[in-house]
Amino acid sequence: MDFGNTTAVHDVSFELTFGEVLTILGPNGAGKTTSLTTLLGFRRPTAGLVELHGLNPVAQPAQVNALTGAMLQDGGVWAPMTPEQVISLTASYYRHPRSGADLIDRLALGSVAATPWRRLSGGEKQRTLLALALLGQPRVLILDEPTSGVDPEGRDVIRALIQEEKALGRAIVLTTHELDEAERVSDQVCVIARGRTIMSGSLSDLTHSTEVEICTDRDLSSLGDPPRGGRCEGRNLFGPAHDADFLAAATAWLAQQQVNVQSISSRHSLESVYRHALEGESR
Amino acid sequence: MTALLAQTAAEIRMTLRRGETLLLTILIPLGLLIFFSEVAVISTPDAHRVDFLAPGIMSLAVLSTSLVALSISTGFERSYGVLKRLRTTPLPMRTFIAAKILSILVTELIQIVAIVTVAVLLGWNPHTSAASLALVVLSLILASAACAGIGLFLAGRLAAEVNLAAANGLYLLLLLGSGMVIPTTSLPGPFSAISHVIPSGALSDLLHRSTTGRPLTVIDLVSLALWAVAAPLLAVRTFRVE
Repeated sequence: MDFGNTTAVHDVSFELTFGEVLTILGPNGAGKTTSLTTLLGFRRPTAGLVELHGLNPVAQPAQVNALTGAMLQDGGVWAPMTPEQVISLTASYYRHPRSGADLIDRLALGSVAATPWRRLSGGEKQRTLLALALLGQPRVLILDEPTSGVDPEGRDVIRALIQEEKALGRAIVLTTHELDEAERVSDQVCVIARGRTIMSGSLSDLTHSTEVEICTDRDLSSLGDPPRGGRCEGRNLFGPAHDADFLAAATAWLAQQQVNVQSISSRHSLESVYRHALEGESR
Repeated sequence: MTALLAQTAAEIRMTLRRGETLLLTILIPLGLLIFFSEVAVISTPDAHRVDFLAPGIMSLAVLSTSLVALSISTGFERSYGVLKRLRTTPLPMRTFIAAKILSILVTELIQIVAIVTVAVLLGWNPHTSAASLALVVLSLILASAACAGIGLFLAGRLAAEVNLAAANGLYLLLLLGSGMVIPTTSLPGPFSAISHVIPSGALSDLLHRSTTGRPLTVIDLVSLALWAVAAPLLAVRTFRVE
């Protein structure tokens, strides 16, 4: 996808099945939003193929939009309209809209349902936009930073709703900068940087590790040799995963050294995987 | 049809609640009509000033609603991401535009009724015949399409704030240079000729002629028809929702 002489997105590819959440991660300017808006048919790709529901989003926008719900970062509503009014108006665009009252209730918008858009907080606006995206009972849901600017309670509401929609069989594509959020809701992850995919796959595959990581409360470098197969890095002790003998020896050794164990994990966090991928890309 | 009706009703509600639109579309035209009819500031070609001013102010009503108010509101809808969000719904762009046109026509109907009522109270006695009435309606429709095309072209290309300035500047320029309140015969030579090839000038002349029973000039009608086709096409081809 080119803008003049600048290539914004190149070689970004993903597939998603219904009932799954795909999260696109990447630093600012990586091409996440461009990927989503290209998927929605806002612009014709300079090269390559974009299909949604097997349809061309540029040539068949009405058919694509009838099956897709989208919440864009800078999507807006007429300033004097209230959530109740805009939900009611938007429902008239669909053949079989979802109940607006149900969405208002589910997204905790009841107390501001009659408040004009211009007086809503950032979080209330985000929740209203999410309600609008869900109105048409879409098969595919595209959410560009849905929890951006939302308070913790609002985030919980949105995350719970994403899980519910996933359980209803919707395919969900979202972007976020919140790595813990991505880890909680994603089945598939695609990391892009400078418009290219640098890592993609299922969350379980990407975070799978052949090592167990034992986090402690002390620097382990001065404690001598760890049990056989282990190695110390700062406050962490690493060793072979799924090896009960190593784990028993390691915990005994740490107890002998009077070191407290804080956590034991046999998988990488998405954050560490993400940072590692970006560091690899920048080298 | 449900979407068209709902969208049209919403557009009309928002237009009528927007204070600045009411000022632009109702209060300023009526204020100019009353002031220039009652105060001898300008010299007009007709015996009664209101005979010249009433059709001119009807042209101004079209200009203010179809071009200025439409352009400004659409420019801000674009700037606030409303159009971008609508682009992701199944509402076809043609239905959205149709709703805007219907709301413009309703607003213009209200304007014309108010202007005619006030003008008649001020002593306006227009030439009336089936042919002149048909010509007035045709001219108003063609001019609305032409002005809407220009307004949407500006709104679809310029930043909202730039568009606001451009639409207001154009309003002032066309108000003074289209024979709406100042006869084109009072303008320097080239301006008088140009007024026939710009939509607001052609509309003013057509309305003046049809309400005073004078023969039409073909150039006005041809020019208006060309603008009515070309301007909306240009807007459709160049409009950007982002």
